[in-house]
Amino acid sequence: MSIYAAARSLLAPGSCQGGQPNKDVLKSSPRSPLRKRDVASRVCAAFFGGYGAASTVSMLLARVMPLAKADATTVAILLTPILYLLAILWAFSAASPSRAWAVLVAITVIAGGMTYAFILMGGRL
Amino acid sequence: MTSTFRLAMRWLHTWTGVVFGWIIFLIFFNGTAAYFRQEITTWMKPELTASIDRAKSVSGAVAFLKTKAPDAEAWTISLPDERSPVADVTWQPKLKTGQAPAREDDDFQLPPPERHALIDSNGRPVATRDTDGGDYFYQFHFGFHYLPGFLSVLLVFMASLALMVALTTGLITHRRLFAGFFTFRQRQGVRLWLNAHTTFAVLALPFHLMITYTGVGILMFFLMPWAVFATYASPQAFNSIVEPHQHIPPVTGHTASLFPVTTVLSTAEAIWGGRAERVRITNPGDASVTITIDRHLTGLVAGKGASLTFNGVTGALVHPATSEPSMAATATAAVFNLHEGHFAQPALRWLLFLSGVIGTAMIASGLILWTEKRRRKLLDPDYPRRGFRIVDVLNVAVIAGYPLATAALFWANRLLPISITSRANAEILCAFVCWGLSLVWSVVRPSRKAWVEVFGVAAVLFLSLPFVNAVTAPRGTLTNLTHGDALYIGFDLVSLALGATFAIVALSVGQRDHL
Repeated sequence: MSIYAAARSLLAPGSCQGGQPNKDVLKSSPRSPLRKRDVASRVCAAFFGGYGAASTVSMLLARVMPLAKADATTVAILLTPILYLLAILWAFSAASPSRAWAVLVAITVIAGGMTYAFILMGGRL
Repeated sequence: MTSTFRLAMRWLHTWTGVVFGWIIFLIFFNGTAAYFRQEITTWMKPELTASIDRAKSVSGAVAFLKTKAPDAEAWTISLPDERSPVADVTWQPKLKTGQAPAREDDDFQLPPPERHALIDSNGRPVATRDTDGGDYFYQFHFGFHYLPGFLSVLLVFMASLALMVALTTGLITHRRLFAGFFTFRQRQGVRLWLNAHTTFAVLALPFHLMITYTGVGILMFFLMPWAVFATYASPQAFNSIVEPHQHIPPVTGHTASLFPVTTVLSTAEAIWGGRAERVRITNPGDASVTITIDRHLTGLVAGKGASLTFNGVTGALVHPATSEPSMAATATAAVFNLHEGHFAQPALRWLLFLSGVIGTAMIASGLILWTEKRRRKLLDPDYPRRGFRIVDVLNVAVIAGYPLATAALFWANRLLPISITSRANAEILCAFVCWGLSLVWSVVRPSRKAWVEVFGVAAVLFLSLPFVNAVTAPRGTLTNLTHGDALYIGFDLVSLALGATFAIVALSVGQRDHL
């Protein structure tokens, strides 16, 4: 339901407002700086988008870190919590939910694509 | 950092806290108790005496296993120590052909009772009451007892992410945390709870950060190990490097007698200059028998892989200690050991326990702060009451009700008849029934009265626990004091301290007209 809402807000013209601060945030009461109807979309962006971004970036790190394969893999797994945390914080601090989704999906696609290319070129153990 | 950003982070702190607070409270409470998992098990089996004789226990265990499970695939003997006075013995039956081998050293699975025995300091098996002991708290820490596995793993995953987010956003919002720590604040109402919440957060902040990071880190190895798939074709290829698999020689079919295990033990301890924790004997009775000694993790943060394998017939060292574990294996072991505290000697274990108590108190005071901040708004007729009421009721039912249920578990352990069937489950059922009753009580009673009453009952249950123990257990309170039985005295003191704390909270809430 909220994924649908997020997809709709992504597709709507002018939904990505560039670097402008979200005026609704400043206008609303200090108790809830996020617009109510955005919250579900941001929660999904944090959980699912964050999962995708953290997973693919950790995969890319395991490929590119200048360490032995097993060590790079372990370090990448141990960095996953930090990556996930950053993604969640981003999902709630982005100016709008659509921006949060756009960045997380872009990171997932780029990191995932690069990892896939590395695997195609270099193979796996 | 703009004020918008800080406001968003503050909002996130409040709402991750209030949505996941109760689950995080339960995880912290049970995890804190699980620091004394073995001590609690020992207390919940009062048939065990305090005397320790390792050599007799080990030879008794080997003799017991020779008659009980002569054709097992492997025997495991966990050696007695000051935390558990008996040798804990388990065995694995031989696999039928085509059966997948069980994961070795699987700490998350408790051994089934029909393949489990305790050998005392006289070398004889002891019959103890059927109880889960401290394993209950360990299992609840990530398993939520009655919930199916998948659901509880998902809950723990989300709650631990929420805890990580709440800690970070808490640090971001309370920029002047350390200055605020020394600021005088009024000792009442919202201010009191805010003060308590930040004090508990700052007091054990390094512990909170460490335990949260290592907790999420451990979950990542099970739930998000995607990095493995970027570098290895299969997870098995990676696991074989991180956890080098013990080479088990094939069964020869010729019988042979076992080399004295106690001799092998002292050889291994001389090589390490440290203590052994566990003895594993594979292919017992066969000429291919091996004896593997695992090192005790006391004092070692990254000690996994410290095992020595000996030929079980000649007693010669087979698998030398020279092979250094890889960096990956060391780092992984460090994350697990830091979280589980295997390295901690008694003083440090108490400090970890205390930090866990502070963390539990931090979560509890944060949850109470949420309702106290909003209680005045109830005068506003437009303010949504239903959400407030849910939080208010669940706060009493979890923060006061779960400690009450824990006390009920200990009471049930002492008072339920020994002979009833599936007694271990009955003990836990008693605890959950009491928990359910305190939920009902917090629904039907006005919130402030419910706090006083549920905390009051928990206080009475904990304060009287030493006396219940004195009356029902052979290792009663008076004998403890005269014999200096440290484990039982420690348990009595902790339950008295918990009872006193709950009594003080109940009395001070009762005296005021608000929380």
